[in-house]
Amino acid sequence: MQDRAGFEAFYAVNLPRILRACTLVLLDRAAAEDVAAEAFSKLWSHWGQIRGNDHAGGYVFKTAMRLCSKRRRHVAREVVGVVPERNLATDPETRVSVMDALRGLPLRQRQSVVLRDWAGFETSEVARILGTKESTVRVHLARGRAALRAVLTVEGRER
Amino acid sequence: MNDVRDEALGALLERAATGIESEPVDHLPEVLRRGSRRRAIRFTAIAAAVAMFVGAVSWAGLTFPRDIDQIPADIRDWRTFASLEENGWTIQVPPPWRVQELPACATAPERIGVSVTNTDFVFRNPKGEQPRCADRHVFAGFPRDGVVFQFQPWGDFGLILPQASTHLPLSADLLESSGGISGGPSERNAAVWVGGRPVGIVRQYVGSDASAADIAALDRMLASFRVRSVDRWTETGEGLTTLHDEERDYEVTYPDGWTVADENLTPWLSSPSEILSLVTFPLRVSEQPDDGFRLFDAPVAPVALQDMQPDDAFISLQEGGGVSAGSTENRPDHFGPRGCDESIYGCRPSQELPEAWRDAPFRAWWIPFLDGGRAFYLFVAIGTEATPELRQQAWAVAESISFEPVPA
Repeated sequence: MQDRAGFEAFYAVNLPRILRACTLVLLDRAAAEDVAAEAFSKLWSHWGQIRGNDHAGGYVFKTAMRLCSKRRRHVAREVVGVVPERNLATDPETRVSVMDALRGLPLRQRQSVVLRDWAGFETSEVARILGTKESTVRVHLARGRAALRAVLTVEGRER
Repeated sequence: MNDVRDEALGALLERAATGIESEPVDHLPEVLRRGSRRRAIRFTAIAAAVAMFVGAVSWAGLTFPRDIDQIPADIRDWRTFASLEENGWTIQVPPPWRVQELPACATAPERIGVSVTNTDFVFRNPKGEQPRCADRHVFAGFPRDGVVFQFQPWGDFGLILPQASTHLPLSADLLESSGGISGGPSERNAAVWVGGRPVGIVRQYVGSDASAADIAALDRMLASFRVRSVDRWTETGEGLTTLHDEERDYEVTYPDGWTVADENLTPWLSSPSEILSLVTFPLRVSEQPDDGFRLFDAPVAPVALQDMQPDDAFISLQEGGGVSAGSTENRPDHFGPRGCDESIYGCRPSQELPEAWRDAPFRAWWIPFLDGGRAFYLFVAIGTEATPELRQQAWAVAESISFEPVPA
């Protein structure tokens, strides 16, 4: 798995998901692009040592989330209002309200909710990606979901 | 349960994410260029450092930083019952065990209770009904190999002398024996106090033929019990402990042999204020700034520093004070190991100190930094005869400190 073509295919397939995850976490499209590019560049630098797309996917997600944390740590105030106008697709009201709701969460809660409920990782995988314990992720999830549900109209119940 | 995927919330996030466009083509050349450069730098660095690395690792055998990421969670498959947010407490439950929810008291309607057993036994009150707040439970017919964890909530009865908040995690040796139930299981219990008020009572019941595995699971369940507003709590596993401080919003992980101060060692200090002290030796509180070894203007526990021996280490974290966004650097990528030229004390005798202190048995670093919009001073002191492993541990502990950022 050292070939450049293989990496480029992986990049094309996985970039949208990583970029969206970073945007949902950072709420800043430009910052998310930087983080995604940095995460993929780190992946490329280790490409020969990584086996299989699943492992590469986990690596790039973990790297991206750590870069998100690092970037957030170095920014005293979060950038607001950053989703480009051209990206307001079919349901802008929903997305803007979701973005606003996410903005109200601390970073760890936002990461936990995005990775678990949007990206679909198991709680144990979220803990591994965030470099924390599963019990801690559960606490962040509970708090993040409660906060989102308090400000969003969420239909249905947890299964 | 709060760790199953929330499909409805996921659908909302998916709708929001769908409109976020990606432009993979534009960034790919830059990604490849940066990745290739990073790989080249890494290979060069590896080649230069390999001899030193092998020597250091084989000599010291240090693996502590790696272990921080590899703490196994013995209860990772367990379910979460109740929530800190909604019920004020939570617990981890082995999946096959039976959970019977107990109703809350009228004075604290959100605070439900629970009985968790390794059997199918259903608890009732003496009237044969579902037990209500503070009701007795009937154990007639309870299996001899059964065990029970129970949290029974209490209302606020008033006229109770306040007591200190219960220290978490709970362990079996903190429970008091009640003598048990005649002909039934033994019972141990402890009241849980938060903010001077009782919030409930935790009980363990153990049948005479209970297996060692079930008793161990019962103890793990007890240790997983969390209560809202108990500001400090710990998780322990594989020789490492993680302290969660929800009042100060930080976490730190440290190995066996280190102790966290239960109280502020510098109560006279208001700015900055001490939020963590972590040491390898017994601690004492300083009554005043000059009560012990005052290290220049660094306001770090003078009496504790005086007690420090050459083979000890000391970490203190303080928040606020003179550090600010305009004058202080962001948190470095990694803390330490720092050299002599960056130390504030220990490389040479200081003429500014009383003679008795000039040869204090440690070297110390004082590191102001910003993290998540918050301002801190990190103080690290390492004994002059500390082992390489302890030196590594000290910086790894500092590195493990993480903070919840100030909300945007």
